[in-house]
Amino acid sequence: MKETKQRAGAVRWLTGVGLFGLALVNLLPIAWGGLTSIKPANAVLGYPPIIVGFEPTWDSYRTALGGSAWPALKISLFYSVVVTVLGLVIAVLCAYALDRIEFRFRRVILFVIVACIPLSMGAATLLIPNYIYFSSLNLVNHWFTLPLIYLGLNLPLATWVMKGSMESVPRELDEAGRVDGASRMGVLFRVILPVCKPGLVAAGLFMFIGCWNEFVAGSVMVTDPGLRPIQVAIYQYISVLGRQWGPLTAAATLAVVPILVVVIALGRYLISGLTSGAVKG
Amino acid sequence: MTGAARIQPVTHPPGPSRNALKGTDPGRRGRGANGSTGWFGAALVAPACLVLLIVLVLPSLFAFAYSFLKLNYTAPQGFGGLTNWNRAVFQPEMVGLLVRTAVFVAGSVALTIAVSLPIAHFLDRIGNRISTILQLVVIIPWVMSSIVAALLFRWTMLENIGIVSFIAEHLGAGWDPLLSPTQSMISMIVVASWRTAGFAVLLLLAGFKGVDRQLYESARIDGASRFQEFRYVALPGIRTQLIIVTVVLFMSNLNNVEVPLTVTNGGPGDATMVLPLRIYELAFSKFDFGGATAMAAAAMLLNVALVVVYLRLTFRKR
Amino acid sequence: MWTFLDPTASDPRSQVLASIIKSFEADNPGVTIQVVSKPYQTLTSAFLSAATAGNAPDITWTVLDDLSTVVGQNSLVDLSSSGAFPASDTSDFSVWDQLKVNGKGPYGVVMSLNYFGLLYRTDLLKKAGLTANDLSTWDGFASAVKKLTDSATGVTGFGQAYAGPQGDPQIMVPMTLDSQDSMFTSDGKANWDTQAAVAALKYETDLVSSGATSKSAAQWQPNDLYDQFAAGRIAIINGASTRVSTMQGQIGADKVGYAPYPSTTGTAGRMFSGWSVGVWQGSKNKEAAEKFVAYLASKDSDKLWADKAGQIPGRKSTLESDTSLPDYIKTAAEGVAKNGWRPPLDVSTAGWIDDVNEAAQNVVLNGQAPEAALKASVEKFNAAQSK
Repeated sequence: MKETKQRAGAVRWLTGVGLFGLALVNLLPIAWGGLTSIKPANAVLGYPPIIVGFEPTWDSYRTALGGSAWPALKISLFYSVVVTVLGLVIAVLCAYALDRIEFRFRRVILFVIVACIPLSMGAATLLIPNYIYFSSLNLVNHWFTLPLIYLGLNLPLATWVMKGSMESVPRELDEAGRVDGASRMGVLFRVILPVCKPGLVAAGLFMFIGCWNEFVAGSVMVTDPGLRPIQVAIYQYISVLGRQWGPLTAAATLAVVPILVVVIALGRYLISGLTSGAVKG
Repeated sequence: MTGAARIQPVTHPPGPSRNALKGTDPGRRGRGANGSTGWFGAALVAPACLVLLIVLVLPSLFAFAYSFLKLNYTAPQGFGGLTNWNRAVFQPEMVGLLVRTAVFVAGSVALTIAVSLPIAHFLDRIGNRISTILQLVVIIPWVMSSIVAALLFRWTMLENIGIVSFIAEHLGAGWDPLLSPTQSMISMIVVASWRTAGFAVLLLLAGFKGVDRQLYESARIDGASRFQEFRYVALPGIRTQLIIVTVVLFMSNLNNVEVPLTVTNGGPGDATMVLPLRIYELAFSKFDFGGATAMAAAAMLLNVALVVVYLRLTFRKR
Repeated sequence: MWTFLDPTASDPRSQVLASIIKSFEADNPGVTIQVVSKPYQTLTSAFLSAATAGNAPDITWTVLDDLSTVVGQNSLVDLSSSGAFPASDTSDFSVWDQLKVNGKGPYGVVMSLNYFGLLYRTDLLKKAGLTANDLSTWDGFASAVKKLTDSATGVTGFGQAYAGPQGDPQIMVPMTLDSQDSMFTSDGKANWDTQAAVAALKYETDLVSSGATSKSAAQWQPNDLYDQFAAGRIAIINGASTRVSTMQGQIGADKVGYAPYPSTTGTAGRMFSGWSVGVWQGSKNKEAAEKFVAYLASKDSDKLWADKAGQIPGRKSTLESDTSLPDYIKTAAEGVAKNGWRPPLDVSTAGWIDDVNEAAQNVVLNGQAPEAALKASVEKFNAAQSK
């Protein structure tokens, strides 16, 4: 008994060390990026790599914010929030119908939605025909262009997460709600959704991150500088004059901060949200 | 979150069963067969369907049709039949391309899962605060701008002016992974896994959290070792999540342009040229839009085929 | 107007553009220039798609490497027939006739002229007791870079980059042009399997096998070379004049030198690049657009580009009259005006540099013989061109 306990302790210790090492390796490039973002231009490149011995400066951040990064951050926030809110509403309604309501074509619709998940990931390779398609519908370069596209890209997964979340809510609660005189929609909003809060947060988080990090559509479907999302603004720093490491890493760091804030704040819901049966198929 | 959500390792509740899809599953009987609920249900799914139709389904169909047109740069000039396909897809070089792509995708998915599983399992067992911090550590590469993250990885770990190279030099070893075809492919796989591990860990961790602690207890009482607990209780319990992670990662890596483009750009030579990168190259460097779209359409077919496999797997045994 | 510049950015070129736009709009009330800054890597594809879709911008910037493709699409206005470009004025341009296509055109004015040559670290050259003069002959160059290579510190003498995408011409191109007029035959086919080209490829790959050039050249992209140069790992790199000021900013102006390629004759062609600013055929504001493009290249604007943005003057008059030009700019400007060479524009030459560099990759990585490698490269290019 004691031997297994010792062995268990040793294994745990080893795992801890291993994970610590992994964390280090995992974050090394990111840490290097953060370091680069506060270096003056003449300390960015050097061999041996310069880790200390330079004067930190906010110049790169000033450049990034003074350039297109700040408006891009704002418009990306707009896109992400709008799509997340709208998307959750649409996904919830759709998931409710797919889970709780009998109607024709239910099976087909479910199939299509699930099949769209991989389709939304192949967007980059179909860029040119996609652009021509959207252009011919006169859907490019409007304020609603990217929100519409992002909605399409993120709805499948969100709907599916919500459906899974609703599946595990017992039908008895529905019955109880109906007995109390609630309508169908009332049951949805007053009985089911409160129980599915974690699932809602999970789906919302995936949508938010999906919108925030999207690059391909953002770089092609809008040309108006005011409509350009943050990932495209970051990419501007890989310019004709070369990779401007300073502003590049500064902009990328700025872009990551809002996501981290959101994830920290809502992270615990994410775990329990996914647990409630959402990801069980 | 209620007891109803607890899963048995192998057979397992909520999930669209085959019967549910057919609408005959008794557990899914809604109130009133069709009729009054029929249009109501349709109304609720309509917005989602409309959006998906406009943004995903129709463009994909259009792109597919586009690949059969004769193109003057990007302008269609009549029906071209299989010209684009012949030029770009039905070529001997496709074989090598597909093989390399398969290696890249399989390698990335395998490595990601191999790394994410133990991490997720570990996170499942430790306290909440450390768990949150480690979760953040794991997901940061996932949420950071994909191109910048890949560039930074390349700089610090792969190039000869990076920290790893510096350390290697001091230890007396050479370090030039980007010059060797094998090492370049491995590097690409590592970068892809590095970026997607966060997503996988979160999903798998959620799965582990759903496994009934009772099952661990009873296994322990039966004398199972930690490893056996993992293998016979934990692993089966996350079967669905594992399937989903596998397939989502597959799709993601199969269509990923940023990682190959930034890390190796297909080099050295052609050793790491994969399908999505080749499509990008055809369109943006060679301006062969017809060939690029044909290849992209072929890739889309591949994706759809994988979706069918995916659906079969997810809806099996429910 | 679509361009890679961003008038709201702080770099000198963008700021000059912003001030030029401001003064043009002041002189032409009723005309506003809306600038859309796009990633340079996809500017051409974006324009080609947009021209097809019918929503291209009035003015677009096209990198000269891609110009033949865009000209082939017939989507740009022939500026020689425009009232904004009288012959009396265009004779002052350094680059005008060179961009004619079978007597028609040119289809744009060249901005951001770029001249390829050698960037060298003055500190490392000094340490080895060398000056730029030692780099003026091919033999002298070869021995100089060998001297600059120091395996103890890991510094190599000469840096080349054979990988793309959209790679730069490496040193075999100028060496080949010492012996032949063009890298292309008169009907636009690849012409780099000649004896001169084989010798040039052998020269550049021998530098790799002797260690004077790092083997990593086979997988380096041009951007990597500049990183290596700034980090002090390479003494001389095959580089572009437009990057000199960036390098100066990163490591100090005193450490960066610029020299033309070695040469056997004084008149051999030397490749230059740049961005052609043209007007879309489908534009609804052609007259105003042409006026602005001409304004971008006006005498006053050219002075601004040269003085405030460190650009190579686009006009011979600026080159003659401007005394404040740094030496390397003068070198580059003279090079462009006197012996600037470009691939033909009447055939598609997209990707030719990458094809040439691929031959070098094959020699370095797979040990292929230079002659066979170039032959394969020529066949590949001709096959792709004729589709």
